Amino acid sequence: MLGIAGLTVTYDGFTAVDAVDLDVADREIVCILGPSGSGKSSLLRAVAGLEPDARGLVSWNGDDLARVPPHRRGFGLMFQDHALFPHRDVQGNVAFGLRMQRLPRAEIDTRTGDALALVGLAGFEHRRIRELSGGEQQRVALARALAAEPRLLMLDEPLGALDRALRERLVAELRALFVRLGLTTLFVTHDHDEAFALADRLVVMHAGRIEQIGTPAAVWQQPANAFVARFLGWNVTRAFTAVPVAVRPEAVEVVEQGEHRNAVAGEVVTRTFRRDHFLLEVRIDALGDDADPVQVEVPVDTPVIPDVGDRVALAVAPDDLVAID
Amino acid sequence: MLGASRLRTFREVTLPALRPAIATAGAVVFLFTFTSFGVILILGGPGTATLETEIYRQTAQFLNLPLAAALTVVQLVAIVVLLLLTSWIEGRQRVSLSLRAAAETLRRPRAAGARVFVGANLALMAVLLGVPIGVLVARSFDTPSGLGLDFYRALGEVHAGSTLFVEPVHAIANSLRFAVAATVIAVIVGGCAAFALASSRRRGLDALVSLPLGVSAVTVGFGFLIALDHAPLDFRGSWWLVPIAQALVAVPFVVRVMTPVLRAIDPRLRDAAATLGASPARVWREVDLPIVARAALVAAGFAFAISLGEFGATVFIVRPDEPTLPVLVYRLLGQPGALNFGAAMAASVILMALTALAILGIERFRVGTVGSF
Repeated sequence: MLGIAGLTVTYDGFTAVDAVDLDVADREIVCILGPSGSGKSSLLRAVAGLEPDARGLVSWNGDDLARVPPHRRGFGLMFQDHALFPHRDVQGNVAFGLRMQRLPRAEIDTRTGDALALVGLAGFEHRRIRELSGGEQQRVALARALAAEPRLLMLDEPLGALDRALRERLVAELRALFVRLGLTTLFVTHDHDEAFALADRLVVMHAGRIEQIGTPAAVWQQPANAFVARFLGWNVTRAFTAVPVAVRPEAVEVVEQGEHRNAVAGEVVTRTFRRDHFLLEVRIDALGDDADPVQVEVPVDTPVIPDVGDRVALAVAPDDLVAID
Repeated sequence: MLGASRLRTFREVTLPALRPAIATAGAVVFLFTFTSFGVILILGGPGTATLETEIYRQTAQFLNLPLAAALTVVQLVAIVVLLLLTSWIEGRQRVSLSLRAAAETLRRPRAAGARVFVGANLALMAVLLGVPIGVLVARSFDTPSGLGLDFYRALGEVHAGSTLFVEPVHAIANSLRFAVAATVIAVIVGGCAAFALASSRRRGLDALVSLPLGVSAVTVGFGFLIALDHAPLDFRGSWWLVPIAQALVAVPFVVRVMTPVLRAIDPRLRDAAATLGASPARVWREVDLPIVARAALVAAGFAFAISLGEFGATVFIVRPDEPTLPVLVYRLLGQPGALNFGAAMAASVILMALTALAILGIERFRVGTVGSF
């Protein structure tokens, strides 16, 4: 079990990670979600032991790791840009961790082959790194991290460089793989779909601090505060209530003026096509020009879809309003 | 694309980006010319004495060591000022350029004017470099008794009244021996300096390591001569004095070849190796060394070629019975007779051949984007 308590990382006076507390249970997949610059990568590097100036406690099964150098921690880290060794071929990269463990040659070859097969790159042993596509490099980096069988696997935006289709397929594959291998995993991403699909437990980070921890479903249904709500794509608005509340764009309805008692009036300022719906941004009259517009999802099969400049009335069911801090 | 004419593009984009490079290139050319020795010693008469040749003349002919030392100090100060000035200009103008590999940006000159310009440039260089070399090679075979190897054969003999103490052919072995030793020293010392430089951001260090580039070979040789002649530092008779002096001349080149490579190693590669279980020593062996090794080979080639052709420092400190090829050429030229002149040409041709081999070796190991020469 990984324990993190009061972990703080500062660079030249800038606090990247600010007193973070987090536990990761054995075989658990924890996903750290946050915008870029929120301190996610620094957190992983500190856990791996690569930030010598980090303060606070990092422990494994209760043992403080402060004096344990990175190469003795047994934590694998897959880097955002893969950090593959350019002077070695695929085999040389994947076998690296096993060679450091001084395993016999035959076992290294077997396990390297297994790891490559696992990521769908069987037979790629003698390819050069430069000849691989971005997706293939990413898989080699994953195979390299997996082959060493780390007691904790950490991945830093591992799917970031990939195109959307490949990313969506790999997300499903990765989760199945982690569960099958029984890996304890700490995963970092800025993409909430990726985080929802992969994680047992979600950690939302912002400006070096943890904003919310919970299962993906709990976080999605009940954002703890305005930051988390906005980050997940909710409206945070006073359009329907006296105090700001969170409401999902798909919960807001465009209604006939006067048909709905609590409807609020406004003007459409943008309209964007999004596959199965249009996303409208509506400026609410009562809130003035300075307030954020309310986002509304209108299904594509709606008979009349308001256009930019149109006057609309918006309504929302009371159940869909979520109180936030 | 943004509406700038080609001249405008050159003025607004290309020129500012090139300015530091032009300044540096100019400084390097000035340094080399300022400290040029061999060419002036052979071509220039008494009327064209430079600091360099004057230092040598005062030392070797008049034994006026104090005057030679004073001249050396004058030169050294001038060079230090110049180096600091370039370092300052470079630092002020260093903008981070997103440079690409040469292969991506190389383009063939298209317009007729550009073709003529590039062609004329290449032709001029070919004439200035090629003609002397070609004539030298041709005349080294052009003996009084027709085409033959007489001049080369002459290298194997000692003539009565000659000021050479050994058969000139020994100079080849001497040159190779000294050059190998100098290469080993230069790569070790230069490699360490490159490491220090790559892991530090202070600019003063950069200038310090470049200093030998500007300190003329003559200064090095002269310095060795007067500094190492008193007990307990009396090493004038030691064979390794020559390789050390040559290495000192070659070190800046080693540093310049290796530093960019060391700087280019992504620190995350070291992090990745560490998280895969490699101890710091192992990281150095598995990540740094393989990448550096190639650069070290290229640097060794440069050091070898430079040591082979080194003249200014060697001529001061080499023992009379152990001449290197360049020293031999100079001494042969200093003796009367067509045979000596011919032998000098033959020795020059051999020296060129050896240097060419070393350069070819560099090209074989050279990695496309690596090194700054």
